Amino acid sequence: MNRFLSQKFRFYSFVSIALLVYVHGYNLQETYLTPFSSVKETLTITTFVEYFLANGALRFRIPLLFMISGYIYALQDNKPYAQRIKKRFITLIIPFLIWSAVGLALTWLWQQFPTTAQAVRDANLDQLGGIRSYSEIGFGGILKRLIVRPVSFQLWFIRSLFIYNILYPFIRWAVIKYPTIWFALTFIFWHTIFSIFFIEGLGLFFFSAGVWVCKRNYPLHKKPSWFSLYLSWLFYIGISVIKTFMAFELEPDNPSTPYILYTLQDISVFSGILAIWFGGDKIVKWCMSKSWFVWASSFSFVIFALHVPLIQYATRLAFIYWHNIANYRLLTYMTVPVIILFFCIVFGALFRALFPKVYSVSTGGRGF
Amino acid sequence: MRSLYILLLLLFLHTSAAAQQGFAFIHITTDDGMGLASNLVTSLYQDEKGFIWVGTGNGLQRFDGSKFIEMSTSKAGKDNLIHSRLSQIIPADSGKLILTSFVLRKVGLFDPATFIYKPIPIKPSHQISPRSEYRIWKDSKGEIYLTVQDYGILHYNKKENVFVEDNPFPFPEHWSISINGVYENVPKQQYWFACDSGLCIYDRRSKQMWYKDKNPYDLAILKNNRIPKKLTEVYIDQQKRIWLFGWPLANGEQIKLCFDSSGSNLLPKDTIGLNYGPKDYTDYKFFYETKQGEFWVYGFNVLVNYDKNSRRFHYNVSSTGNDNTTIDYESIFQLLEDKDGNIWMATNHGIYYTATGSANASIINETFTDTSGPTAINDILELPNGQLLFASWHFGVTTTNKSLHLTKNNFYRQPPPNDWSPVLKASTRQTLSLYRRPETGDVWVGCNTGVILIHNPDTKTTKYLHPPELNNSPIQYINQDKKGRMWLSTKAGRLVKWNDNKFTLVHDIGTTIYKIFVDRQGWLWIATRERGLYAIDPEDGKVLQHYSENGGKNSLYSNTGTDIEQLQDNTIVFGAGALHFINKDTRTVTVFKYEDGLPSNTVLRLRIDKKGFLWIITTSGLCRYNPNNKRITPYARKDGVVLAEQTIVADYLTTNGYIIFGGSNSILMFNPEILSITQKPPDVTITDFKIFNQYVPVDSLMRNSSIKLNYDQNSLSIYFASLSYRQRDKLTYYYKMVGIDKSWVKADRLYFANYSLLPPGKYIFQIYCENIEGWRSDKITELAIDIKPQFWRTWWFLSLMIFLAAWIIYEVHELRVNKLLAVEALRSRVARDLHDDMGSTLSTISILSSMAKSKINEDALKTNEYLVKISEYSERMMDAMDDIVWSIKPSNDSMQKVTARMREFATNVLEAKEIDFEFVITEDVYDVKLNMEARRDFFLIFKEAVNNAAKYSKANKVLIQLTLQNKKLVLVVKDDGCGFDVDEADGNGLGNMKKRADNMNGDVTIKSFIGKGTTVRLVIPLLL
Repeated sequence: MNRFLSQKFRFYSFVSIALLVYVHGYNLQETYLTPFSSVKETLTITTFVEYFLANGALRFRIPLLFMISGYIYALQDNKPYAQRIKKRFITLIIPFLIWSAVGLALTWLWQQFPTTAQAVRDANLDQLGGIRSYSEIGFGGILKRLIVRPVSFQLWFIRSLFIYNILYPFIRWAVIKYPTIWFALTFIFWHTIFSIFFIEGLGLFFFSAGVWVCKRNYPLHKKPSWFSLYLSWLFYIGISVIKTFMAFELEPDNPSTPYILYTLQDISVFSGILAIWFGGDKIVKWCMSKSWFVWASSFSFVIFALHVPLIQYATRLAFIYWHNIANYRLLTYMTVPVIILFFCIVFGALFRALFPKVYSVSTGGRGF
Repeated sequence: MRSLYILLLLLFLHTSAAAQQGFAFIHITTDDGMGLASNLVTSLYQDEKGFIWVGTGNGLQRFDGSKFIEMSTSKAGKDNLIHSRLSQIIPADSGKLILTSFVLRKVGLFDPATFIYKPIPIKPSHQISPRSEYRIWKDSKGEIYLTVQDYGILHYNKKENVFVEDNPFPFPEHWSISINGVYENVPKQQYWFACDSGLCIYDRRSKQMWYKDKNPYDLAILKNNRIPKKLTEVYIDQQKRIWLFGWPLANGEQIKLCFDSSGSNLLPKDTIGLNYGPKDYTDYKFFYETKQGEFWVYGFNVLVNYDKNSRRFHYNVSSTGNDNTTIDYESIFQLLEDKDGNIWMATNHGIYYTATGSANASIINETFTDTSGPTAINDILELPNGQLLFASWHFGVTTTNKSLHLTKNNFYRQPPPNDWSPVLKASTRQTLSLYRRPETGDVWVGCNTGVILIHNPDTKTTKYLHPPELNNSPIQYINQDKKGRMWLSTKAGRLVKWNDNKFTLVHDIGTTIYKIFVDRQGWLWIATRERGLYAIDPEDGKVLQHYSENGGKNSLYSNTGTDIEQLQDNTIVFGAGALHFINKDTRTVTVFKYEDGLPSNTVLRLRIDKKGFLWIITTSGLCRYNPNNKRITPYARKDGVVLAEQTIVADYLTTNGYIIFGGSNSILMFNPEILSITQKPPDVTITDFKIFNQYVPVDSLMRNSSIKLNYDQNSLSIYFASLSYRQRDKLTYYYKMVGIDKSWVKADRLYFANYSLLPPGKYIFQIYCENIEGWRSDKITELAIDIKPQFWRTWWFLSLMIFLAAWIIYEVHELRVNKLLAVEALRSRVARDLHDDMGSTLSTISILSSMAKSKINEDALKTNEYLVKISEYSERMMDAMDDIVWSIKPSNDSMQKVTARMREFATNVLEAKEIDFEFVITEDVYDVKLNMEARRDFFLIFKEAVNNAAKYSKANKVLIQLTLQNKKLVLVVKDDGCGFDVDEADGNGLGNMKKRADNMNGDVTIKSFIGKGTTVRLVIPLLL
C-alpha cells in the first residue's frame, strides 16, 4: 500500500464518520429510516434535504467503511489468527463496551433534568422501546442496552466488524474460491438486513468486497480506464435525487415501491463509492496536506462513538428552544450536527490530552 | 328613544303567553329537513365517536347533529342492508352493528367501515311460532343473545355467524321467558329472567338456575308470594330496588311491584305515580336509568320518570302541543342517554331529546295558572325555611315550597286597617317588591299606592303602613343598606329612607326608580327610567356619581336601566339596554353590546351566582357572562331553558345557589352549576366526505392513514362536527388545509369546508373547535389527503428526465468527441501510411533516379538495374496507394467488395505463380460489417498470407476459406507447399500480421511443418 492510498483510507474513514452526524441528525417524523423508507410528510425543502442527505447521498459511508476495513484486514492476514483476534478485541470490543456505557450514562444524566429529560423522551432513541428512566430499568435492562441494543446504536458497526474479523478465514476462502456465490449471498444479506445473533448481514457484502479487492491486487490507487467522473457523479447524485423524490411521491403501500427505492439506493451507493473514491484525489491531497485536517481526522473514532445519542438529544433540545423560529427544523439540521462534530473533536482533544491512557484504551489505540 | 323602546318591550313581554311545565324537548321529525327517513323511530345507539345511529321504519341512519345519513351497503357486499323497519341496533365487536328487523324476522351484521352487511341466520332446534316476538340483548361479557317469545334463548355464535341454541341457561321445564324479561345483575354475575311461571335467576359462577322450587340460597325474592306468576319485566335499579312487572290474570291489569334489595319487603311508596296519568291501554315495557340515577319507565302509551323532589313518578302526557315542552307519542321504543347526558327517545312520532339539566330537574321551567301559583310576578324572596315568596300584582304575596307548589301564608291573616280606603286596601294585594330584614325576620312588601306591609312569619303578624313620604306611588323596590336602614323607591321617582321608625324623603328624581342596589362599600346605586344611573351616599343622600347617555366617553347606552349587580372585582354592572361595566374608582364605563357578543341590546335582569358568574336575561333569553374570560354564553331550549324570554321582571339567588328569574306567570329556576359546566368540547369528527358532490364512505376512508385520490378527484367537501349535542350550537370550528390555507379559517355556522380543484400534493386537513367559553377541543383532528399527480408531473419523473437528459448529453458529447478523435485518427493514419508507404518509396525512387541519371552515360547496366528497381518500387507504391485508397473508400465497406478484392488479389498473385487455388466463402460472411480500420487490417493480413504462399511455399494449391463461426470471422489460408519452421522464421511479416490481428481484438495463428504446408488462421470477434 503506497502512501497516497494510506492517506485516502484515512481521509475517507474520517469523512465517512464525520458525515454520520448528518445521517443520524435528521428530524423527520419517521424516526428510523431504512433504505426503502417512504415519507408520509409533505415534500418541503427541509424534508427533501434531510432525506436526500440522510437516506440518499450519504448512504455510501458504511459500505465504504466496511470496504476499507475488509481491505486493510486482508492486507495483514499473514499474521497469526489468534494474535489478530486478540488485537481486534482490544481495538473493537473494549471500545464498544466503553462507549455503549457512555451512551447509557449520558442518557441517564439527561434524564435527571426536566428539559433534557423531555428531549430524551422526544428523541425516542431507546431501541428496546422504553421511555422509563434508566434508574428504573434494572440490571437486566442495563445489560441488554449495553451489549445487545446500545443506545449509541451506531456501535453495531464495530461489533459487526469484530464478528467479521472472527469469520475472516471463512470469508477469505469464500471470496477467493466461490466469489460469485458468496457475493450473491451477501448481497441478499445486505438487502434483507439479515442478522443472526451478532452476525449482521448489512456489512458483509462490502467487507468481502474489500477483501476481494485486496486479494485481487486491484490497483485502487489508479483510476480505471472505464471510469467516468461525470457519469459516476451523475448517477450518484442524480439517482439519490430521484430516490428522494420517489420516497415522497410513490405510493408506500404499493409492493413495488420498496424494491424501486432499494434498487435506486444500490445504484446510488455503488456509483457514490466510485465517484468519491476515484473522483476526489485532489481534495484528498489538499486536505491531507493540511495539518489541522490531519489533526482533526485523528478523532474519527471519538466522533463515531460519541455523536449518538448526543446528536438526537441535542436536536430535540434545539426543537424545544427553537420551535418558534421559522424553518427551525432545517436550521436545526444544518447547525446541530456541526456543533456536535466540533464538540466531539474538542472533547476528543481534551480527553487525549488529559487522560492519554484512558483515551488510548477507549479508542482502541486510534488517533495517536 | 332607546329607553322608550325598552319600556314598550317590557310591557309587551310582561303580558306575553307562557309555556307549560315539563321537560324541554327537542323534536326531530321527517319535516325538519335534516333527513330523518321515517317518523317511526324504533332504536337508537351512540357509537364511540358520538354518532347517533337511528333505526327507523325505513332502515338505518346516522345522525351527526345536523343531518341524517342513510346507510346502504357497498358493492363489495353481496347482501343488501335491511331497508324496512328496523327493530334494534346492538353494538357488536370492532365497531360493527347488529341490526334486527323482527317484522322480516331478519338479523344481520353491518360494518360501518366497509358498508358491508352480512345476514346472521337463525337456526333454532325446533320451529318458532309465527306469533313469537324477538328481542336481542347483549351481556357484560359481550355475548349476544336472542330471546324468542314462547321459544327460549338463542346464542350468537360469532365464529360461525349464526344464532344457535347453545345458551347456558337451564330454564325449568315448561317455563317460558318473557320477551323483555332479562336483566343482568353484573356485580353478582347473575341473569334475572321474568318468565311466565315466575322469576328465574341464573348464577354464572355456580352455573345454576334458581327459581322458587330450586332456591339453594333461600333468596327471599324467589319465595315472595306477592310476585305474580306471569312476569313480564324485571329490573334492579341503582338503589338496588327490584322492579317486577307482570300480568295477573284476575283483573287484566299490569301489576308493578318494587321490592327492596333483599327482595322481601315491598316498597309501595316507591311506585307512587306509576299508574297515575295514563288513561288508555298501556304496556310498561322498559326501564331506563341515567348515569345520574334518573329513573324512567316507558313503553306503549306510557312515559314516566321518577321525580326525586316530589318522590313520585311523573307521567309525561302525550300531547300534540308545539311548544318544546310536550312530547307526542303512542309508543316509546327506546331511551338513550348520550355522552353529554341528553336523553334521547325513539318514538313512533320521531325522535325527541331533552337536555341534561332539564332531564335531571336542575332546570325548572314553570308556568303558573291562577290556581297553581302566582301570576303577574313582580318580585321573589326566599324565607329561611325554604319557602318562596312571590310579589304578585293580583294576588298579593303568594307562597310556594321549593318545588313551586303553592303553600298557605299568613300575610293577610290580619286585615288592613279599617279606616283605609278601598283603594288602599286593594293595594295591599297589588304587590311589587319584597325584602326581608335579617335582623328581625320581618318581610317588607312594597305595594301599590305607597302601601307597605311588614309581616313577621314567626309571629304571623302584619303591619300596614302608608307613609306620606311615598306620595301614594307604587313601591318599586325595597333594599337595606349596610347600617340597617331601609330604602324604598317609588314608581314616581322618590327615594325614601326608613330609619329609627321614621320615613325620610331623600330624593325625588321624578322618574321611576327600578332598582336600589347596595354595593360592597355601602353606596346606593339607583337604576332609573330615562335618568340614568345614580350612586348615592346613604349617609347624607348626596349623589356621588351619575352616569347617563351624555357622559362623553363614559356614556351609557341608554338612560333607562332595569337592574344593577356588582362583580367580585367590585365592578358595577348596569343593565340599561346594553350591559355596562362601571369602574366607580375611575368612573369609566365599558359598554358591552350586541356587537360584542351580547345576544340582545335589551338587558332586563342581572344576577350574580355564588361563583361570580353573571346571569343575564335579555329579550333573547338567558345568557351568562364569565368575568374571567369576558365571554357570553347563551342558553336555550337545547340546554333545557324554555321560559327565559318571559322571566324578565324579577330575579333571586336562593340559599342553595339556585337562580330564579320570574315574570308574568312564569318562573325559570335553575342550578347555575348545571349550566356552568365548562367542559372541553369533544374532538371534531369528520362526518362526511364528498368528492365532486358524491359521498364517499367516510368510515372506510378514516381507517387509512391518508385519503389517496387521483389527480382528477380534486374537488372535495369535508363535513365535520364535534359530536356533543349539548354544546353543538355553542361551538365555533376552525379549519385549515395545510398546503393551501395559510391560517385558520373560521367556519361560522357551516359544518363543512369546500376545496375545489386542488392541485396534486399532500395535504392535511386540520380542524378543531372552540366553545363559547373559549375552551378548545383537546386535539386537532387531522385528515391527510394525498392527491396523486399524473406521473409526468411528479418531481421524481422530472428529475428522472433531467437525469436522462444529462446522461444523453454526456453520451452525445462522448460520441462527438469520439468521432472527432476517429477522424483525427484516420487523418493521422492516412498521413502515416502515406508517409510510411509512399514517402520512403518515393525517396528511394528519387535516389534511384538520381543514381540512374548519374550512371546513364557511364554504366548502362547499372542504370538499367536502377530503372528496374524504380519500376518495382513504383509498382509497389501503386499497390500501396491502391490499398490505401481502397480501404478509405466507403463503397468498399461491404464484405462483397472485400471478398471480391481478395479474390482478385489471389487470382493475380497465385495465377502468376501458376498455383492452383480455391476460394471458399460462406454466405453469412457477406452480412459481416467491418470498419475501415478492420477492413484494411483484415485485407493486409490476407494479402500477406497469400503473398507468402505465392512467394515462398512452392505450393501447388492454396485453399482460401472465409467463414463465420460463433460470431467470429474466420480466415484460413492454407497451402500444400514446403512449409517452414515457425520458430525460426523471420518475424517481420508474421509480426505485422499479429499486430494487425491485435488491432481487431483478433488472433492469428500460423501452423507450418516442413514438407506439409502452412496454415494461417485469423479469427476476428464480431459485434453482430
